[in-house]
Amino acid sequence: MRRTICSLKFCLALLAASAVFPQAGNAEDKTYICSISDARECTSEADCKAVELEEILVAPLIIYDLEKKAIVSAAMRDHGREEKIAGIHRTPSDLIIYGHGDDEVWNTIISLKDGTMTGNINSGDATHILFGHCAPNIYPR
Amino acid sequence: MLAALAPVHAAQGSVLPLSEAHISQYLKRLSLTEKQKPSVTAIMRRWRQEGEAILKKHGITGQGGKKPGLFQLVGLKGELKSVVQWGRSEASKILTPVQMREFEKIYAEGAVLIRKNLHL
Repeated sequence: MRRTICSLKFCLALLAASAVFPQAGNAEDKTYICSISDARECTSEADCKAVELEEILVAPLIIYDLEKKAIVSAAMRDHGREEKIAGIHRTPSDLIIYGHGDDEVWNTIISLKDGTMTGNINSGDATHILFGHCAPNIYPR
Repeated sequence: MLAALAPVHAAQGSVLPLSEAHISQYLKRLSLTEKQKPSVTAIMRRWRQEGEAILKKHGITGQGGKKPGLFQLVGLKGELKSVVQWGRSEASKILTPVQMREFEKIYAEGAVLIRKNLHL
């Protein structure tokens, strides 16, 4: 019950952020909270297929901290896992964030117009595509 | 029962609950015949060997209390899945339906332990 209430809090925060900040983001925003709604797995051998986030062990809620140059899981069950941000690039309409681990390379594109998010994780012979929505994070880390 | 064995495999530093002590306990739980024991033991040892190779490939040691990176495990479950499916298929050829139900229970308990050992 407590976990459900806490998950609801995050969802409400995301909705509140979307309401308070009608534009998805601007140059002053230092952190974004992103909710991942869908994922696909693609290889050269088969068509892309939908996968559950649980199956690929990706957190459904991620904070992108551009100031600290890190992305961190904000999910209740998976709190604290993080990655370093290697680079950030802004265009007038999008925020492009990327990084890598030892074996995987990832990138995220956040639309500054409507907060739509797409992400890509390349690991070996497969790529995983994430879809979601982001809003400026009103909760400090 | 698996929780009682946790210190054993923690000392050995493996994420997988498939030490010889674990396997010995699983064999007892499955009430195997003398004819079944070598084959089931071989399945579990191969699970351990291939599972540890996959974990090593993803840089997972389970030591130091460090959480895996946010995207570090993306391909891990898929790779482990094919190894697990092989083991289940082989086990189903050897075990009775009752034994197979206990086998699945052991697998489910192991999956929980693995998540715990990965600090997830």
